[in-house]
Amino acid sequence: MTEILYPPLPAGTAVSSAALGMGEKPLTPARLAWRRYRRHKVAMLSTVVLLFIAFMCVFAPLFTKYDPNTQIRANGVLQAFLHPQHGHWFGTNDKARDMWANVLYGGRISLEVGFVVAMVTTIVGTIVGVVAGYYGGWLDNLLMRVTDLFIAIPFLVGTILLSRLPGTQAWARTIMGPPQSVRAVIFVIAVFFWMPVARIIRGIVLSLKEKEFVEAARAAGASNFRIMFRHLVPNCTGQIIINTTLAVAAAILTESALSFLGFGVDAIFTPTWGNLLSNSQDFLDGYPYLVWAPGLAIVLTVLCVNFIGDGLRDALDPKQLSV
Amino acid sequence: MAKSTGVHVISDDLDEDRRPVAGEPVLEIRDLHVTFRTEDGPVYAVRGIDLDVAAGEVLGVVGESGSGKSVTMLATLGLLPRTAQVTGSAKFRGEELIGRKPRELQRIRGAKIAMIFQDPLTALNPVLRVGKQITEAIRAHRSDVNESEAWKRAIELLDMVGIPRPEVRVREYPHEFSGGMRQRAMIAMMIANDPDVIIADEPTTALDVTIQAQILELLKSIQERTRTAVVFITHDLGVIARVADRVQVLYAGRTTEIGSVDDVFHRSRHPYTRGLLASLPGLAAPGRRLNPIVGSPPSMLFPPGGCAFHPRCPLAEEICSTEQPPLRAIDELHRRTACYFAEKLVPGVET
Amino acid sequence: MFRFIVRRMLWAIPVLIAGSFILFVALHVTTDPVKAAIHHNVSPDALIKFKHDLGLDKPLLEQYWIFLSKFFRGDFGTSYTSGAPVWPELRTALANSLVLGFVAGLFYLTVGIAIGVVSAVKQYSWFDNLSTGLSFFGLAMPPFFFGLVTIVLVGTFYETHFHSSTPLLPFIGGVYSPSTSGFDLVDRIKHLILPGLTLSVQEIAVYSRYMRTGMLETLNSDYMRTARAKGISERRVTLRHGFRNALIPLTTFAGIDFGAVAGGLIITESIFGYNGMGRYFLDNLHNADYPMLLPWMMVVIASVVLFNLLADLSYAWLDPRIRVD
Repeated sequence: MTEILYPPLPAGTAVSSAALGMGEKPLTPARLAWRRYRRHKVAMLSTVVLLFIAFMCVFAPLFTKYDPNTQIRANGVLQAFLHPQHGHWFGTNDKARDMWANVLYGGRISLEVGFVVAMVTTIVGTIVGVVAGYYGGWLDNLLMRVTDLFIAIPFLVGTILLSRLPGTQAWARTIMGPPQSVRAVIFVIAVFFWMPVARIIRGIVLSLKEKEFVEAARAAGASNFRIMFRHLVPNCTGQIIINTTLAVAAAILTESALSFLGFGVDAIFTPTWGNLLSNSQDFLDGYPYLVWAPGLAIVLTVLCVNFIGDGLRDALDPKQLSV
Repeated sequence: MAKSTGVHVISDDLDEDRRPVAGEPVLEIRDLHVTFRTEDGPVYAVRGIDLDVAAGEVLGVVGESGSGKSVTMLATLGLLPRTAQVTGSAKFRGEELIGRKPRELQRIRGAKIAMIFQDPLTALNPVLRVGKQITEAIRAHRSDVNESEAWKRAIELLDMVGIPRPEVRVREYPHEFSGGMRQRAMIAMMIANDPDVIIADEPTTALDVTIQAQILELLKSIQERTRTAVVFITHDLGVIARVADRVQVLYAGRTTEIGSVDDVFHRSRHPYTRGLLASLPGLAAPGRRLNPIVGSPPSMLFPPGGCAFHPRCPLAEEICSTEQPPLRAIDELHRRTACYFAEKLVPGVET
Repeated sequence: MFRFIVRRMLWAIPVLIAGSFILFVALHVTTDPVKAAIHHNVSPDALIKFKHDLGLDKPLLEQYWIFLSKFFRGDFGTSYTSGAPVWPELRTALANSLVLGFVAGLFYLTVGIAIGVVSAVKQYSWFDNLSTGLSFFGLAMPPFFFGLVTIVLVGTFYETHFHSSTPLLPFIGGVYSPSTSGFDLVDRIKHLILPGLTLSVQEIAVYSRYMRTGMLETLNSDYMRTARAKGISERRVTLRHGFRNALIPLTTFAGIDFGAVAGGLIITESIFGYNGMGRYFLDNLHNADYPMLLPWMMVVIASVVLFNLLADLSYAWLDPRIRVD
């Protein structure tokens, strides 16, 4: 009879998990991601700054006593072109409107456009991408061809033309709202933004489709719908979140660009950072401060969003190399 | 003259480096420590390893993932990332390798010491032709060989490793090769300069079982023909049994046992090795439960004190958790083991 | 490989036709030359005659067909507003845009790629951190803001602080028009600097990030380790195995990016009054000047398609894996 070389451990032997080399209780992926995000100091700082900016814009009346369209008068005289000074931190513009107020209220629009576009395009793009990627076939082909086509049209040209549509066609007005309204601008940008999202999601779904967990789900009797939205989409979450963040930045920049050129939100009564900059063009000689305020607002906001996006990429997709 | 011995052609001209005689030590690693700086803290991957390989022998290095087996060999060639801190000594035929500048190591890499990696699909550059990657290896060390000669040589090498129609294949890209052929191509690339030591880092792990056998045969035949020293890294005990002369078992960055394959497999004197052997599925009688080793390998961020294996060892006692057992010779059989209680493991018991 | 090329080229044609048709329809649907002409105090009858003369009362498809056939015969017609022939103006605008696009492109590509490579090779060094910070800044900086800033700097700021009556660099005006005779290289270069710089800011940021990411990916790949294990010099390893491989995804991106050049760098040209395809578009859009706009449209789409094709082909040339089509 041979010796038993490996007697089972006597009952009750305490084998501490630390000794066995295992760590503390396991972290969920979400908690892990949050921990990684926290480490990214710049992203954390940017989150704070962005929240602060958003807060100031949303609660603008708390931070300025002026309405963006009120014309400042002193003793009945229009106070146009005031340089930055106490009481008017960013000065006043050619129409004697307070720039600080304009930047704050303008921020509302810019941020609103940014977030709404990002949300809408992410949702639409994800749905289309998942469906096209999953079903393949003619649906997928259709998606690819349509997006191919739209890529051939220069982005600004397309958005400019589209922004003019409600001006000439009544049916467009019902969908998009009046020309050069915030709603119209959101629509115009969203129409072009959802396509890259759809393509990216489709790409991910294509690669995930072949994995075993999909087969397992199917074998367990899951419907196509369930597979798509309970299994595939959650696996794209990381990418989706990152894309959404970048979309916010891109949307803000696009809205500013369109407004700058005069095709975005109508400048007369609704300031946005873009049209504020556009307006400043005529007065560069002598009143450059009209350029700094809205411009730096855009830069700061987009910078924060981009850093947050970078932090998220670090946290959610650690294989990706970032800052 | 050269064709019959094949691989020796190129080294004819290198009179400064004579081939080592059989039994002459070619690689001597002493007290190697490798620590990685990571976001979570230092990772102690290798914690004092000694290793010897002599010309003509095949040393199998066995261990689980995280045991430090690959890191040890990468460290000797200076192929670790910048986050790695390496201390200790690794001598190639008397020449110290640790701490050398990359430029000096270049002379040795690929020419004196060659390394074959695990996954040939990712280890080969996907956008360069296979032949080009081989000629690159040749011409890096032989400035007197021109491009067309190098290509001819590449074709010969591909033929030597058993790739059919080498003159066609040499112009193809890695993705046009099958997995086994890719590994053969990698082997061809690495033996092109007739190295004294071949380090094979899990060369068959990524391949099908049938292809595995072929690759092992190929390596074995090359080794027999050229009497190159081979360090064969793997976690697969079956492979060791097939190719190695001696075996060194690693656990958590340290050596636990060294000996001939026969001794270690049949008369192991370390609880870890015994546990490994006992856990092989083939050894459990049908219907009986498998015998895995309790617990899992430790995180190298916080290696256990003393003998790394003590938390999982049935023979462990107080001293095991505080003092690292030294590698000591058991008997006249030149075996060494790192366990205080090696004597308790009754010899002569078949596993 | 050959089949790949042919197939890609064949695909380009329907895209060209479809794209131009979409834009054609878009133009007709979103603008109205008749309305634009109303500003010029014309009677309603004259307007109807005007519309008929221009063939604008015909069905859309017929108009499109007429336009296409005329286009491929080289007949671009004359402008609605000025009556002058379309082609010379279009040609000027195209030339100007191409010059700006390529000169700036050469600049920002070299700089961007170089920065990206060095940042990746010396990851986490001061250079890397600095260039990363600047890249983020550049990406957040809309070109119209930067353009205005430069104008302020070389204009007002320069004039006040350096006591000059003229700005440091000219910031208005195109480089070439049909009326200018002679070729003043220095003047041309001076006119290119500011718009070129403005264009480059964002592009350098984008390309350097792209290159850095690509390089880091290749630098950490297994085949880099294999190359080193072969004993090749570090420089050769970085260039031949790292850089070359990292360049591949960049070409696709660059192709698309350059394709947009002919579409006009609308914003940059608008700020600097640069007489390129972008300015051309905006000016003629205002007047809904179809004869001016339609050929413009064709040129733009053709260039986008062409550059995408080139990008695809160069990608296939660089990466043999995708030639299996």
